[in-house]
Amino acid sequence: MSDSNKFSRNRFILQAGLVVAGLSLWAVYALFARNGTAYSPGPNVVPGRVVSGLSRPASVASCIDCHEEQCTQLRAAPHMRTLSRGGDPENIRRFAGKSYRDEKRGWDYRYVVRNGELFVESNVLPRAVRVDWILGSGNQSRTPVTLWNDAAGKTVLLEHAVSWYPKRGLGATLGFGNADSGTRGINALGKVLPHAESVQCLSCHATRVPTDRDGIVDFSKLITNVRCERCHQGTQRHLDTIVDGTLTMQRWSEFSPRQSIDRCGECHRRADQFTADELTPANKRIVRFPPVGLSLSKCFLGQSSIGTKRLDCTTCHNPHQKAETEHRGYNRVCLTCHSGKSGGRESEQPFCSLRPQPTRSSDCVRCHMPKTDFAGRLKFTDHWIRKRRR
Amino acid sequence: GCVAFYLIYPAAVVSGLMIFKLSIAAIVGWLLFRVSGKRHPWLSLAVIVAGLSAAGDVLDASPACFDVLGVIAVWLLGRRWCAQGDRRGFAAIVAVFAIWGNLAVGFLFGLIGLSVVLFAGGRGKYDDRENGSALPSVRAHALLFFFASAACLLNPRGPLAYWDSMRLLFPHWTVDSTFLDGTAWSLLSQREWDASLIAFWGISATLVICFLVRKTAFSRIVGFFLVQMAAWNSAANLPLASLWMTLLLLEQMREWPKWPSESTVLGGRRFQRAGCITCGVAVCVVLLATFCGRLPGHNQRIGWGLDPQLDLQVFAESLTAADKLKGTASCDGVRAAGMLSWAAPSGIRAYDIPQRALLGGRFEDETILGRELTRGWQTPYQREDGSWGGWWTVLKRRKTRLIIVSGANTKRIRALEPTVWKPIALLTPVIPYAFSGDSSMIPAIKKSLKQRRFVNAHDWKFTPQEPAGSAVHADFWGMISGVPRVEDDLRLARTLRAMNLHTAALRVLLPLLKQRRTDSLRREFSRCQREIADWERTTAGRASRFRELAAADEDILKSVPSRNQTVSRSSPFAAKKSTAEKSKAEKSRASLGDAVAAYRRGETQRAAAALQSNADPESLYALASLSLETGDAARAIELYGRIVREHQRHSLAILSENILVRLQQILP
Repeated sequence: MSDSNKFSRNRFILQAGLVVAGLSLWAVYALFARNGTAYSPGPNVVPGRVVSGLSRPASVASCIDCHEEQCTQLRAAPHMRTLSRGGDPENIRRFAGKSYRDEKRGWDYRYVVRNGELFVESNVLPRAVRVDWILGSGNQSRTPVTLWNDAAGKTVLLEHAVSWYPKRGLGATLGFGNADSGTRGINALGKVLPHAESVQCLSCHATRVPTDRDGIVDFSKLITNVRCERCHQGTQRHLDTIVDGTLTMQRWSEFSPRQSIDRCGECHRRADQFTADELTPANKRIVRFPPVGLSLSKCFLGQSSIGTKRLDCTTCHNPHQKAETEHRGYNRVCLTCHSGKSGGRESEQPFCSLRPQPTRSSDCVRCHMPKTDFAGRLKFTDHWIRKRRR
Repeated sequence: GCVAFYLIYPAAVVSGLMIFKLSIAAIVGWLLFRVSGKRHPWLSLAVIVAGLSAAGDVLDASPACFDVLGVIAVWLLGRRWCAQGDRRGFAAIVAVFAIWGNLAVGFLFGLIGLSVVLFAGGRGKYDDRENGSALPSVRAHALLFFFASAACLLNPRGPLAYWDSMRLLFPHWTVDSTFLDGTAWSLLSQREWDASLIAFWGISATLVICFLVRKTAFSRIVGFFLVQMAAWNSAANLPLASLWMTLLLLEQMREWPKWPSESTVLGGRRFQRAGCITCGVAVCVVLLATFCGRLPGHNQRIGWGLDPQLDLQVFAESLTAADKLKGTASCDGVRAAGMLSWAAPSGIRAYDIPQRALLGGRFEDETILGRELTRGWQTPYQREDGSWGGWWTVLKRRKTRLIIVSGANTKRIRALEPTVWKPIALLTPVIPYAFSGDSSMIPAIKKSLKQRRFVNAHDWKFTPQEPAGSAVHADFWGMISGVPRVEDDLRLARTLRAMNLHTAALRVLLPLLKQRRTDSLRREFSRCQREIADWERTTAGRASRFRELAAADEDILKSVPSRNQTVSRSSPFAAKKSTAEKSKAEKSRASLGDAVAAYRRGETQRAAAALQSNADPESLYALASLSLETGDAARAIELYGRIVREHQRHSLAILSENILVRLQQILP
């Protein structure tokens, strides 16, 4: 072979090598350029912007080893009864065999059990509808919901028109039963919520609602009720770091009062979800949402000026327990600032305009945070702490 | 960078912009032809057409057009400098970069290109001296590169201009790839196939073959890979990269032997003629496909005027209600932001556009907000990194008073439907949404609600676009062929369906189906039917036979007996056994099948005629639905009422009740 031929062959090999190497580089680049994690917005399924990969939530069983007191309390708390199966014995006891009649429109709703599952039969729809889940702990109410996939395949929810109430049994769900007329069909059975609203609804009653990109909720991986991870994010990381002793954890105590009530407000509503003209005493809807009322209170807004004392939801309520109905404990919290003593210290606020000094029978809550009727069916404590007109 | 637009538009309006676009395309084509050296004119022409197809999207009065001109100028001037090394060449290159740095952000691409050209020039690649002058030294090359780089700093952004250019050309280096998915800056591997991508692949593949079969300068291969990396990194770089590939290929072709004299492989005039014919045919096919809007991913046809999707008239009218608003607007893209800025009330400004967000480091926030708006994540929730999600609070913090959504963004329109943000215009290519708690916007929202009811329930009849185009856009291909362009009307139908105005969407689709039966129209019609059938199933427990058939695939529909088939299908044995009632029911089913077949072709009158003589609930319901969809609301009310009265226990009575209540709330 002549030198020139040899040179040509080597040159060809070099060029071919370069092209192949370049193509390989592209292939590698194209395959591995996705350096982030798939982002899918929505509560409980969001990895956030800096955390890579979905962290698995720790179970209450794992937490109990170190936090026995809180976990034991939580197991009995309403937060652990926010979402239950329709066929749950507690729900069967409350609903099965019972019926409700909407007198205005002549609609009947009867609850029956078939193969261990709860169904509702009605004269508004030709077929019985299964109750898949029940929302609510039963402290205020329990509302049945039915789930299915819409035309686009996304999970949607039917909020039933009839709920169970502790004092009166079955009754119209809030928002239903006011109209004098209506049509038969699914709208008479309840309200069909769009996909996003359906998942948002579930996500406040559950710790995790795994939803894929097509909008289908994986109920086999759903973690019911408000467990540790729902409020203390990153519990699995916390467990993983036990070995090295760092115990990485999002600490509630490090939150500012605003951040703290906003976290509760994620489900119990935040003030910034309302417009300015909605945040008035005339709006009776606010009583349903304690963090909103609290955030409007002078006590909350003025706390930065009274030293180290702090007011947020957890000042009065232990979220691991059912809220106390006795006022004594709450009054004591009021008195930590409103001692009525003078002495020039910042934290000492006047006691009361009506009574100059606190007595044993002083009940701040009765006047400043009264129980308020809501929609004729429910009673809520108004958390907008203020002087009211008599 | 919008200097061209601001100079041309006031002087010559849309025609000026069109002339500019054509001129730029002609200049780029001519410059490319010059590079080809006219050695293989037909082949060169084919390559140039492919290059222009790939880069055509940016050849208009926008900053990106200066990037295209900059790339060609750097290539030509760089080669000239390498060959001649004169001061004028030096000054011209520096001037190009100084201007480029002020008009567009792609100059970093130009600097990469220049370095490749200088590298080749340094190796004597472009030595075409005639007067014996000295070639520029390596030092001169370095000096030129230094001054060109410095010239890019001569703009108001100074050194930050480099950062801007880097962010836009290589966004994956600064933004997580997952946030760029589905945007203009996504990886090339994620871009959907269209004419630009096919052209890019064609040119690249040809170049690779050239590199393999012919001697090629090392600098060209390096240049090829650098540009390919830029294209693969971001699909937005595709026009510039394609142009560079075209220049490389044309230069490579200059070195090919001239056919047929030097060709020995297939040799002869026949080969030359066959090659010319093939190239000529390819060019003609591509041009024809461009003219009639058949290039993959490009449905614009040859015409004159404003893109119908930029028609401002109705949009601007709807915004007069927002004159007194003060705050920001959330826009879903450049078009929405541009139209808002053009027609906008003075107190409202677009909060961000994707490009500005990318430059300002806000791209992730903007993308998250966009995705949350599209997926309906309104309620605040805390993410694992401590940041807050949910669009409501973000819009509140930004003092957002308007949300502007492109009509094609049906997912976002659907997600906004159940919220307190309501559209203040319907039949516009870009839809403005106002907050229903905004007292100043209530009249506009009420007006739009009335319009919604009108198009969905009253006797609104849709007139499809004329083949010749509209007032703002002349469609030359439509004039010649008499075939109207359906894309804009189809987009309107999709928008109406996303707003849950299914009857209105069908009112748009039915006349279109009668004119043309394209796949996209048929698909949209089926989707619409499926959604209505789903509503029926949800509301009453089962869908009507009419909807089920209308939503079914063609194969299923073929299995439904037609009226002509009924007699032949019945066996003598069955005929003996069948009662009068049975044959009546069979006849009804058959006529329903005929009606649906005609309905799917848009022949509503024929469909109605097929059902006239039937009195069963399925036929009555079908007839009522047809009446409503053809704009005869009074007849529809009468028929729905008849179903409720005569077939009280039938599930279709539940549906009829629901529709009646809705209609009676709207109609007097």
